[in-house]
Amino acid sequence: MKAFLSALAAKTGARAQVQEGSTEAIIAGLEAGNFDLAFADLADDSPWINDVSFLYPFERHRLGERTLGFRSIARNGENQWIALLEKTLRDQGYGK
Amino acid sequence: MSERRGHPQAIAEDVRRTVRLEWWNVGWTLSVIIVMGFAMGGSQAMRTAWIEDTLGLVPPIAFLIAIRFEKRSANARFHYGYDRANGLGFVIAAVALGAVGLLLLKDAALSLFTLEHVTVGSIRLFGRDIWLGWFMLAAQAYSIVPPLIIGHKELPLAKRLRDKLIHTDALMNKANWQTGVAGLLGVAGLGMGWWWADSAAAGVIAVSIMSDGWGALKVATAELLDGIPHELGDAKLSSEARAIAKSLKAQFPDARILMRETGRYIRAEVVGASPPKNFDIDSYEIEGLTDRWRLDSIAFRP
Repeated sequence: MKAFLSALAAKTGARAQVQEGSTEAIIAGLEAGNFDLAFADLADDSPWINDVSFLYPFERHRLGERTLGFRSIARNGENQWIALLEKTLRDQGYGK
Repeated sequence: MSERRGHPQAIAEDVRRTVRLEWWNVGWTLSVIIVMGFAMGGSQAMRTAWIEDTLGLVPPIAFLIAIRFEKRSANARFHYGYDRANGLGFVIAAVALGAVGLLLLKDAALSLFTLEHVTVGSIRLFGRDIWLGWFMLAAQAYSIVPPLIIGHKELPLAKRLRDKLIHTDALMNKANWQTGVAGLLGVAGLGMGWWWADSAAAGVIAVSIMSDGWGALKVATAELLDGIPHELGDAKLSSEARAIAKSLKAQFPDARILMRETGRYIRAEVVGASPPKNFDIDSYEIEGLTDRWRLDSIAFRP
């Protein structure tokens, strides 16, 4: 995740400011446009899947019947930003 | 009473041509459905366009079924023949067209009200990162071509055959290519960050489609209720029916002339007069009625 953030910072010239919080608060913050990017451990069939954009997970693990992935999350509709995130993830060997 | 078998000689070639065109229509529409199905991804606009393309199959299939029935002669169960099979297909096509408009309007309004921001991701292909929107744009561009060409070819045939079902199919094809253009603008808008462009364009087009569907449904219902013969694509009395009424009124001034339309044919009834001796409908001249096949029968009710 650190390498991903560094690559992203190099591409955009931005400096990452990290903030921690509960998943609910992070998703609400993303939707409100307070954050550009979030990371959370979410299931592939999470109910939040329609509210925000899930990107390729850094890693997956099973929890009971469900598969969770620690992944990047972006605000819906930010297509150029999401395309950049996906490209950076692919460059680092995540996703397809 | 329609006791003929097959279509009148005057329109037989046009009927054959239309049947051929409608088979092409079904084939091309299926190809559009497949291409759009592969490209639609998570886009609501693309999904709506896909459903609309699927509904676009209804009019040509209704026509191909109706035309088979229409050429059958009257029999013990259907004393008046099957001329109205075309009218039934017309109702089905009109409902499908109206449904497309309604569906499009509902989706457009919902997307606008819920401030839906559609995400379109990317894919890596042969080492290059490609935005999936490009595939959607290509599919949308492809989906515009067949309905544009087929709809254009259908209009003169519908006019010559007085076929309201084919005319409605031409409207459906117009709806399909217009939705394709709206989809193109919408996907391009998504790429530029205009999340509302897609829904706004779709909403405007939906209103026009609904208006066409409503107009077609009014005429189709009127035909089922034995309303007056209509002009193609209009609720006005057809000029041919006016010519028939004028001619019959001149010959039977004290009679009432009633008319109705069964499919592509007009049937007239003269109320309060008896038929002249040796009256023959086939040789009966009507000024202003160039396509004589349009008048199927004249009945007398003294």
